[in-house]
Amino acid sequence: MKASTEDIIPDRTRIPEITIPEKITIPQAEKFTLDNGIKVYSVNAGTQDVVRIEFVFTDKSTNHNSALIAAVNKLIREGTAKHSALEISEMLDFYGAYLETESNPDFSSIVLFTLGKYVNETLNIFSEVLFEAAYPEKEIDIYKTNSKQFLRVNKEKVSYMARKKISEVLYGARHPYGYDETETDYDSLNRQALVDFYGSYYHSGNCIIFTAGKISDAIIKSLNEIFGKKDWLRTKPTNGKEITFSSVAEKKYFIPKEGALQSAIRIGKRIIDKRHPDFHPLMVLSTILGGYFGSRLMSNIREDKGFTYGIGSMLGSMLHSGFFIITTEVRSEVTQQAIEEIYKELKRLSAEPVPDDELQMVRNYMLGTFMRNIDGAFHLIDRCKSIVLFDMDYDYFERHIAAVRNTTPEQLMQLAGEYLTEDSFYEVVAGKK
Amino acid sequence: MISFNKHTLSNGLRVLVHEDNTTPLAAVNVLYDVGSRDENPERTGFAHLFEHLMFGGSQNISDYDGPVQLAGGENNAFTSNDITNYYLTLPSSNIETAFWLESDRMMQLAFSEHTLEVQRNVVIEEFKQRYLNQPYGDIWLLLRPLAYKVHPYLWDTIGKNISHIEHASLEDVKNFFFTHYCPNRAVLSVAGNVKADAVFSLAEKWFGSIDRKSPYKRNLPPEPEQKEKRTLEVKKKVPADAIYMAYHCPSRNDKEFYSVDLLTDILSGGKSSRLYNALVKEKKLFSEINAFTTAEFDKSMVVVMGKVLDGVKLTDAERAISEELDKIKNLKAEEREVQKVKNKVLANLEFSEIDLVNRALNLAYYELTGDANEANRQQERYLSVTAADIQQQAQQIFREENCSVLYYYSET
Repeated sequence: MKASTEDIIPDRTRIPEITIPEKITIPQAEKFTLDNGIKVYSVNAGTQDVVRIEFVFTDKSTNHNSALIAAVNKLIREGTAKHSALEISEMLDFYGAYLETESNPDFSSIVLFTLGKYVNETLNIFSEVLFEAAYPEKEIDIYKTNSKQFLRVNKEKVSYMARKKISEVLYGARHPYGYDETETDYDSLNRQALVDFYGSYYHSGNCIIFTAGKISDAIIKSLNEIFGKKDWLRTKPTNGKEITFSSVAEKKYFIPKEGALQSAIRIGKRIIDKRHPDFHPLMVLSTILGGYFGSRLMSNIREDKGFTYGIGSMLGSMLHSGFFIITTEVRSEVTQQAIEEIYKELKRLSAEPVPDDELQMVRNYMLGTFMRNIDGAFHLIDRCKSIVLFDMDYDYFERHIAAVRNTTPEQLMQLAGEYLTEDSFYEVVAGKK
Repeated sequence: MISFNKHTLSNGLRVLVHEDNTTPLAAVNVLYDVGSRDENPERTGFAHLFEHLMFGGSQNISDYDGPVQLAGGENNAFTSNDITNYYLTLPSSNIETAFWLESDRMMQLAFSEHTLEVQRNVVIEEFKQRYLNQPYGDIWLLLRPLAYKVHPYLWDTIGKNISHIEHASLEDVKNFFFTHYCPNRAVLSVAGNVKADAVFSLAEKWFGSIDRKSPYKRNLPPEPEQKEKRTLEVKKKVPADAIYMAYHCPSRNDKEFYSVDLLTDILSGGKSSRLYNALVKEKKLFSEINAFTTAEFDKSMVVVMGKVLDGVKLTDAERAISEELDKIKNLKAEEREVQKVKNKVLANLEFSEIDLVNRALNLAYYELTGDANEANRQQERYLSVTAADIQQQAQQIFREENCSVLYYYSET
């Protein structure tokens, strides 16, 4: 190392030189096909002896009852033909393994996290759960009772009230995207419906496998032995329905909550999904508005006015729709002021070009975020999932990076004018009258 | 296993470096030896408020977050009863920016009336959002002063009440900074695609000239042994009754900690745990139940908490919990059950070390509590615990006179 004074005496008045890598490449997952046709995407990387194996089930053509989707997913591990719920948990816990289940209207997933050294043992349990879930009445009853209480607790939260309402307003209460479970839904769950849905949804013709961590050839071979030799679990398909979104004319909603100290505000709209080329530059726009700590909404409403602990905007995509939503909880007394400021910031996006220094900061921040999001095997498999489940390819990320690096202030203004006009938004407030 | 190198600057700043060249990133972590236990009892919540002020600019840098974002970084911080921790991740090529920022705010914070005013409001909104405007959000505000009468763990990190935050003055800010923020009371750790020697040079360059401050004598009143059961009943607008039972237990830094931690895992670690199966699944008294240790540096707590189902009396629920606690007091856990909770802890350690930030934090945390090498000894600490050790802790901890119970009733 050279030893000039520059190295020893720091110049505290200036930021040290910043470099952002010229080229950021995302390592791609390997792709395998099991004998029965199931696709496996795999990222073999990482320093720890850990393995993650995820099965994602999806039926992209029709909509299903959300309460049923969730119940079948959560209860899949609660007992098989051979073992009780407790025995299954005992075995998994003994190996320090986890099963995580997750579902939304588009996808249901079940994930095994395990130490590499116990992968054979835990895969056995995992496959039993996948092949032979029994849905015992006793477990269904416990699930119903406890879910109802969980729901009652949620209903006391302004954040829940506002979120539920905005989804309903954007998609219609009949569509799974706009619908939230009620106590009646839990009450009407019955075992036969669960078993039927399990048989028709969790089957080899309906799933994709994603693995990450220390993935040896032996693990891929085991997957084929266990899950790939023949078709499994396909009963007659349950009848999903094709339901379309329904729009409402009224734009503003208020849900009273007596004694609330804060109002939950949700301002949102339906928007293009991630397959659309404008999605990437819109992501830049969303970041500028409310996608990071230094965003305009945070700077204005938290850091300048102190109205809130946090505010953000989010551009997201489900299988059949994109959405753009602004989320915050603010001091009750300043609810209207906060809403006005939010619209003011929205309007500014189409009225003035984003200054160069702000845009440079956002570009660098987003590139750094992208680097964080592809760091390590688990992040890499998440990125892979995010394209595969939407039938897209890795060039999606190239388009993302190009948009982050190259979108101009003029293009951003134009996009804001096209997609983020005030009158296209719906507004929900839950709080004190 | 987190390999590392250590170097201490002449001003007392301890610097730890973990090299991992499989990532293009680096995590930089600055841990300060100050938490809400160090607050004036009339100005509680201050350590946490101060953490917010650390982002309000320093002597030479008006804005902390802007440069981090320009460097492609992401940063955050947290405050607990014992420590305050600041961390950021960024492309490793830009770590000098982190050194520039962190050293400037360690050297001299900008004391701005405007920042104080705004962050007071932000923290008050945080208080409301997380503690007051949520069902059951205030339990720590009720449980801590029940379990502690003397020791500052009697208040939560957010503070006793909003008025303490409202009254915080710039004078308080200055005093707190000059007492607690200095190189000899901090640990700097870096993990990622870096070279130890280069990091040590950067540390010398940016932090080397910051003055050491006179050592702080922490003189906290020890919590006296609890002599009788304490109870508190509240009625609130919540949908279900809930119970919170707090027992005093050894500190995070005692060797008994590992037995206590495994004890709470037997009770409520995972879906095969005892409380969950006995009380949620079999007796159907609770919709959810949990047991854990607060793992604090002074005498800490084991807390058992749960929400009961409609029609279940809290007194019956409490008796059912006590029966389960009696079982582990009266009968040593089977070898297989002990093995299970150990395996689970070991797996959790392995999973947690995937994250670069966790590796940096772990090194700093164990260095602050004595020795960074402890980060790599946790496995053996847990493995050396026996069923008898766990039983002994259960007998020691789960005594009625050592218990504070909060009965949280639904108004309706």
